Amino acid sequence: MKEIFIQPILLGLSSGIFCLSYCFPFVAPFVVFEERKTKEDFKVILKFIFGRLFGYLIFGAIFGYLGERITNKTVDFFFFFALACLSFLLIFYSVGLIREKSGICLGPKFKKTTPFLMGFLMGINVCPPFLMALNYVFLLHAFLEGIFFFFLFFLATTVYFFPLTFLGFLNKIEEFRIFARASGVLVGLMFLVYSFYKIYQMI
Amino acid sequence: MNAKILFKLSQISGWVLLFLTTLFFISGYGMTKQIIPVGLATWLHNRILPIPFLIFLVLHCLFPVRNLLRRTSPKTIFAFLFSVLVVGLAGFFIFRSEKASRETVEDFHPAKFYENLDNKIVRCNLCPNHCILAPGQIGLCKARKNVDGKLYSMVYGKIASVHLDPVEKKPLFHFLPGSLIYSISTTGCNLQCKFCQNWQIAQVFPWEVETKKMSPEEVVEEAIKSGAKAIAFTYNEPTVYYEYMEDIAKLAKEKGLKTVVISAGYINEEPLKELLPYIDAYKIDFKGVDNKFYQKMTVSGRVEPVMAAMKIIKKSGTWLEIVNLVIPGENDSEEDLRKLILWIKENLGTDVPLHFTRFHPDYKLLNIPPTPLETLKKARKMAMDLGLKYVYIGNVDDLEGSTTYCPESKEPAIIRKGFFVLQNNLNEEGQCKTGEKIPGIWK
Repeated sequence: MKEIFIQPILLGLSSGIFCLSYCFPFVAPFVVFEERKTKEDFKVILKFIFGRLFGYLIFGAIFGYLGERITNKTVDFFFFFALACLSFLLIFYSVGLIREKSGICLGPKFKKTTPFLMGFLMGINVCPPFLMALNYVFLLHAFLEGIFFFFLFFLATTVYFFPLTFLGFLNKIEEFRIFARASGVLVGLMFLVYSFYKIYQMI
Repeated sequence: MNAKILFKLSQISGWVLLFLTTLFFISGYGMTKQIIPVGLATWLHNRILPIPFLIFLVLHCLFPVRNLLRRTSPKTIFAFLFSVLVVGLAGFFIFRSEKASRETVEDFHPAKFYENLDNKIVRCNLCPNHCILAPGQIGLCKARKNVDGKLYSMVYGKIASVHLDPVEKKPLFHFLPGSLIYSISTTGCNLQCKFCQNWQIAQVFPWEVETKKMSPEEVVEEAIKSGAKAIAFTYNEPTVYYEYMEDIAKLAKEKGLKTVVISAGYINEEPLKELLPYIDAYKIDFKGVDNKFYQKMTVSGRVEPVMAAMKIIKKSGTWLEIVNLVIPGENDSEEDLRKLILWIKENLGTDVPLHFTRFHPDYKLLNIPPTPLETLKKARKMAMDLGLKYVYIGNVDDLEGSTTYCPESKEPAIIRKGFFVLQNNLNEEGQCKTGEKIPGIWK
């Protein structure tokens, strides 16, 4: 029984740094390319983290319940589809298509929920520690235990995410904002092409 | 540095780069089209050219970089470095995930010994792990993969390590003493022992280390060229590259080479029986007679299949030697050792050489000290007192423990020091001067 407590925490603590480095190319430009107050930076990171939690819990529940009935191919397809959505979101945000005042673009409400959505999509992505957690949950065949496992895994990995708030200091410098936007577009395009390529391979 | 000097350096290095690039093309083309000897081309392309090329590239870039830095503010430079980090990490992750999935069926070799279950799921029957794999999944051994309902060997023809070793290093003491043996390995292992001494290649996927592609024909050809009398399948667990090993062994037999398997013996009966006709000697790591020990020290091992494999090998007539790694506090109690010795005596006979080898901290078992010499000597004495005729101690410098004695006269038959034979008093038939015959393969 104690395994259900210890396993996710140890897995999260040991692989959290890997989670962070995987999320970094998405989160870093997002935090830096817009000038905000430190408090707002913290809110953005918090929304992102809760998005991840939401993603983890949903997956924990689904996979914990359905277990091996879900095939590898379905999981892969879902992951890469989420990656494509995430890439689109990052590109849209980087080029300024998601902003508060614009007739043709997505409005302020959407802008506010973007960090959460990005966190959610990031949370259900093909990150190797996530896959490891998923493998364990596959064998549980239990809805609640699946949620519980991913909740603890989330808590342990989140320890590594809070320092990202300090990246917010960089968004006070214009040069960083410009380069962050450019790298946001570039990263988005790279992952978009990659996810399309993988989906194409599957089809 | 002076701008003029940097400019000159940039010019000169540009010409050198042009020359090196031409050489790169020629050697690269030579590797496939043989316009120059392949060995020379590969040596130039992979070993000689890359480093000078990089050095001259850096020298060539110094001047423009200097100019750029003079015109750019530090903030911009740091912002640029930040974006390089972000994009670089993204590229790294794509590269990493692709590298793992890049290998396609064309890079693999069809595996033997598996059965198809429902929904393209397969059960591998090569070893007692009996991995059940859904499409895309890889076995515990990190060497076999289910691709769309068919099982493939991912390590066939991918050599991770190749050496010319003294046969005593294996250790095999009753097999062509003093000879050199062409030793090869791939990656992967089906037991994953915590004390693994070759974990750098045994506990990894084939794409995690540099491997060299060699066909069975090339392996046999190289072995003959090296002057070795035998080929050893060793270092990692040979069972995981079964198909490759079998193909090489068949070919080696045709060319008059002997073959040796250095294994933990965790293999099923059917594949083992199919392989044995092509194998001259088998060395088994008999880790302990207790199942708990196997369960504690390996990923999911059991002792019964290892015992069964040893009985099959012995019965087949293939030469068998056994190694027991004595680990302080884990399998070195008098009771454990006695059980192990008695099992060998009762099931395999008193002629099977037994090597007690010294443990040294490695891989995941770094908290246990090396085995004291006294423990090994005691184990040897116990085995000899219980009736085993050929008992040795290894991984330590002990003349008596590494000498083969004639069983009746107790005269030294082969005296060894380390991996080397100091004196061999046996004739070609393996007979002592007194006429006593020592079992083994001597010619």
